[in-house]
Amino acid sequence: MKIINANAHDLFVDRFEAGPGEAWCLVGTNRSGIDTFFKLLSGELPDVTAEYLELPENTGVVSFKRQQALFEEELRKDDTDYLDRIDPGTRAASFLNNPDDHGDLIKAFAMADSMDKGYRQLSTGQSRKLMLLAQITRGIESLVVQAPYEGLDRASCDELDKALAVCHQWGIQLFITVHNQGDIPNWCTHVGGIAQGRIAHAGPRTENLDQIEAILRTDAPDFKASVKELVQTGNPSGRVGTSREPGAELVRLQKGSAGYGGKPVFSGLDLSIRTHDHTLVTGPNGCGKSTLLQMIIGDHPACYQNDLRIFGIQRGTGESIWELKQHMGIVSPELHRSYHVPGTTLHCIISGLFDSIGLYQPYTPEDEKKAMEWLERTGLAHEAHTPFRRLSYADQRLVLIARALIKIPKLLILDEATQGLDEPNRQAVLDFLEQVAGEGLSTILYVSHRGDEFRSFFTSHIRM
Amino acid sequence: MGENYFNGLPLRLQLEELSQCRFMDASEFNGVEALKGKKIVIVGCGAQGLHQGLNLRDSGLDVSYTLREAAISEKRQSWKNATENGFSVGTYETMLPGADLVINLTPDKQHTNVIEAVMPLMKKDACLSYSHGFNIVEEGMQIREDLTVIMVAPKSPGTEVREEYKRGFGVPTLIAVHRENDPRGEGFELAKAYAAGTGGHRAGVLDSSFVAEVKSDLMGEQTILCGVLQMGSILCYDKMIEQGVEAGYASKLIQYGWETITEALKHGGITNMMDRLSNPAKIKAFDLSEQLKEILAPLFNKHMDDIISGHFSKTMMEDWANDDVNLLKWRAETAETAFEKSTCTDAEIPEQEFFDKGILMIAMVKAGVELAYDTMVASGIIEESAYYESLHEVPLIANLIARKRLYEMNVVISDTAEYGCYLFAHQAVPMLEEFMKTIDTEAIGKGLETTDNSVDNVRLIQVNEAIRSTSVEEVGRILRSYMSAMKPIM
Ligand SMILES: NC(=O)c1ccc[n+]([C@@H]2O[C@H](COP(=O)([O-])OP(=O)(O)OC[C@H]3O[C@@H](n4cnc5c(N)ncnc54)[C@H](OP(=O)(O)O)[C@@H]3O)[C@@H](O)[C@H]2O)c1
Repeated sequence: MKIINANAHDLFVDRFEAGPGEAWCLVGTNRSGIDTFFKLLSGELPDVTAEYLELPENTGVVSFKRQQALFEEELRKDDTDYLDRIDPGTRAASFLNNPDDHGDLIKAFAMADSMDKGYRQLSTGQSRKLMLLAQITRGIESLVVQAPYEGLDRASCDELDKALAVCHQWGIQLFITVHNQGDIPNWCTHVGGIAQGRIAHAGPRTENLDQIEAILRTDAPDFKASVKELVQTGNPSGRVGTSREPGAELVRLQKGSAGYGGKPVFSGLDLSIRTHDHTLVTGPNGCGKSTLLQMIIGDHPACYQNDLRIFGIQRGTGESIWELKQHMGIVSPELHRSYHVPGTTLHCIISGLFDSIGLYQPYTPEDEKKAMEWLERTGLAHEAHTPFRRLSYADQRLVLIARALIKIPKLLILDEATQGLDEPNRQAVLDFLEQVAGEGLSTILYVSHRGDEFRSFFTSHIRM
Repeated sequence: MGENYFNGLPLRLQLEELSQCRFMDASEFNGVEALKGKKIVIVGCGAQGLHQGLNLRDSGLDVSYTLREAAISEKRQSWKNATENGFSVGTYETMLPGADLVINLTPDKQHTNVIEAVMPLMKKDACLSYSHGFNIVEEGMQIREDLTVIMVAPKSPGTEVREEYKRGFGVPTLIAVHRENDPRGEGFELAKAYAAGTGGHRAGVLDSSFVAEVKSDLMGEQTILCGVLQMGSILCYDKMIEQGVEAGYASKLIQYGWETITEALKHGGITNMMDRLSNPAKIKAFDLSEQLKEILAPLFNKHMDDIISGHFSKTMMEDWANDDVNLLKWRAETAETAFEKSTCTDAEIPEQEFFDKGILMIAMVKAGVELAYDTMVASGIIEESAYYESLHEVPLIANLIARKRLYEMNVVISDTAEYGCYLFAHQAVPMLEEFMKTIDTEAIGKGLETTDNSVDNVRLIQVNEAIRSTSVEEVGRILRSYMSAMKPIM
């Protein structure tokens, strides 16, 4: 493939060339133009002008957008209302082309045991691998993958890495995009950097890696918030005035257990979080981190079967989930996936004041002002009236983070909140959280796979 | 089985019941207060049972389930639904005597059975609730005098009831109190609290009656919802084949066409659906729908009359008692229609093309919605109720056809809807025989041949005015503003 002097949106490519069988890792920050380059390679950019344009042929594409589209398509096909059972979604194997002929490949992807599961029963890592398999079994010659490692723990990253290395060995031309230094894989033969809408460096890995890593270190973050400025612009807390007396109990779980369909994912778990106990939760995919958080949030039925107190209220004693949620700010992969309702970016942030997905209540001019300030802090003020769903995945993430922060809740529950963000933005969000913790504005409960997010402000660490 | 309840009422009360429907103001609700601390037991844990129960529990209420013996001992899906979600489940004998509110969410056809088993076990002065009033109104079920009888009927499938709640919203809901069973005058407060517990109060609640709910629900489902789409699918497909349109294309245009055009209906009513057409096509669709309305009006009237008189439910229940002989025969015939046996082409049909080449389908939807709505209103049913039971639900059935075509669509809808659907389609298809002879591929399959978009201005203004100024459009605009994610916050 070869591109000369191509122009589209926020990107100009003077020259880019890749030979068959090469494995490329493309690196850039979220707004560097890398998403446009990804679309260009995927053949999904209709309005590109170029002096010479020869794109990868017979391409398979895996992107955030397609994953979300598949998720929503599966929801649309949900037959729970008509079946006499809960519909687990389309069987995994039926996403593949002739799965019976691809036994070895499926094994190499460590997916043999998941072929009979329904789509909604797969973990994040498994559904991503399934999407790759769906493409590869079509007999593609090149594969274009957006941020493949997001949301995966170390072990799943390694597994995925192996799978991608297999693709490379089979001679498939590979292009992946990444936004973090730690994500540049060993198997790639070539690297390319994108900065300020240009291809900065591109070529064999060994010669270019250092300059490319530097891009991620030196680019400025889009997320710019400081507690000091927050206090200056007025009352930092949102709608609900809440006292944050130190030591007050926020969460208490005794001998907690939870599972799905009779299979436990954890048991015997004791947890106590008091105001200012900033808690980090780590553990491999599938260990129950998200289940635990969902239980605390009230989105998992186990909250009613456990000895669980939230804000001092024993669950299942007449409280409504909305009473509890008004003191929580939440970012999670589930929330992001579920946020597929119409509405502008501004409305999405305001919805954080009401704990709703979509906006169903009248809001005040002060609410709007506060939301605009948060939009400024995410560098998205000019997108206030853009439909939220039309933003890039990373920008959607920043907006959801702002949505959780807008009311400066008693308890901030962040489950892989920085998923999809580039290195500078991740660090900027964590810097801000550090200040929030330092000032005691919120108590933070945080799940992450990334070692560089295990900051010192966490006062306790739960390994699951 | 009892006597038809409606037919036993004096005319004065018949009229009063039929016309009872009031769009409630949000300020009338006081959360779930009236049910706080009360013991709620749901009978059945299917699509409505499970999802309503999850919402009620999340609203702070005490919910558990009771299932028939076999469902528990065989650990059927209903048992799994309840236990895996952390609810306690027990037999009628263990659960019912302690219940303050018993919610019957079993299939309508089983209600007589279920209520006969449940009622003797209910404690004195408790409350019994339904989500559809067929059993009370058509079967005339007599409920013990000390019991309060209410209805809380979400106007959406169970999964949507849950999804909207999780978003912090709800689905439009109809509530009612059975006038024969409100010994302590507490029915309305209980129904309001229950509706609030499901989130319904956020999306709009109609204060209605059992009679109005049943008669309008039956009318909507058998005419515009299922009947018209069944009739239209068969006629439009056969027409295209007769005119030489490629079968795979015709098949796809029908299967996915209803869904695409009614998506436009859902967001902006008939006006928006018609606005998706070019001006000449819009005028054509308008003219066709006027003809359709004239031909089909007597059939809509007949269905309404048979529903009101009880003739419909009487004959249907005779079929139930006769092992569903008619229903199953008609179902089998559906499987044999040419459309059902066709296969869709793999080729994409762009979204706009469904409109441009489906002018007749649009005319059918328009005619069907307006006729169903107007006929209900003419029979004394209030506008809001008529809207929810006609236009509001069309996209749901259209979506089912997109996913399952006619045969499966009929299997998964309720037995009452399926039975009525066949009755309607069987009459409507022959009634339109002459009309269909006048149709060619301009109306269905190929679209207007002329590339000339010019129309007479005066005519266009008249047509636009006629489309917009109907009652269903006026009521719809208001009700949709309460339902959409972007409620009137501006
Ligand atoms: N579907 C809708 O969109 C909708 C909307 C509004 C209102 N409604 C109303 O909601 C009610 C329930 O409808 P649904 O669609 O939720 O029904 P469904 O999904 O078919 O569920 C029926 C439940 O009842 C149980 N059941 C079946 N036969 C029974 C019997 N003879 N005795 C005791 N239990 C029995 C079933 O469990 P087992 O078979 O395991 O015992 C199952 O749990 C109906 O009145 C319907 O009109 C439905």
